[in-house]
Amino acid sequence: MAVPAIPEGLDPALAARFEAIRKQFVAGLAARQRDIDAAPDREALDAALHRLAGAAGGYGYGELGQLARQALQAGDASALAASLAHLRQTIDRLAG
Amino acid sequence: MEAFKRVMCVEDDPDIQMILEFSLHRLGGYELCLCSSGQEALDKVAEFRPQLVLLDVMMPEMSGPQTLVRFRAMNVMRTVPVVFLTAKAMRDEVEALLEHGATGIIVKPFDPVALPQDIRIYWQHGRASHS
Repeated sequence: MAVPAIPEGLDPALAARFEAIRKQFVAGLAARQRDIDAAPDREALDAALHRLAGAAGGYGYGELGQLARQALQAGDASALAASLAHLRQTIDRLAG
Repeated sequence: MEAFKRVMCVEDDPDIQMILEFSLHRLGGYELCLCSSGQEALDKVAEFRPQLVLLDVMMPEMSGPQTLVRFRAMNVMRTVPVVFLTAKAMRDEVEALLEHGATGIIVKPFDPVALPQDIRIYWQHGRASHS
């Protein structure tokens, strides 16, 4: 997944601020993965995925948000496991 | 006529709070009150007197719709536009949220560059409907 572009037309100070909070978001992905792994039930899992889906796109990581939405919509255990594995790979790549 | 400047955001996710602060305060120039829960918003609303509220739907303890009901019971919040933030955009869910008395819906993820203008439109719409 490519590093998302900073929104066009920002002055340098704002672009630097956006880059700083984008890095902070990426630094928090490992904790989000832990929340997903530790979810005791489907309700807690869905809440963690829902928060990730809502946040990722704002930082330009639309594909990551889409993977979280796919996991939310997974209809059975095997589809959910596949979606979560794909999501984990993506988070590992971004956070690594 | 008072200029539009005070926005309250009620959102429990710290990453979304950060992007809201960037979008609405740094880009949009609004005076912002960030709250992490519905109860915190209820506690701060009388002092901050928001001209518009962005309200997350799914929050622990007190949901967005529950918070909106409590807002509408307060004189100071009776006509203030409230826009729900939601990662779900199913048509029936959107209709249900609007029936709660929301002015509109913004779907997460939102475009941080476009959001300041988007909420201005909702503020204008809310003001027009109560004038």
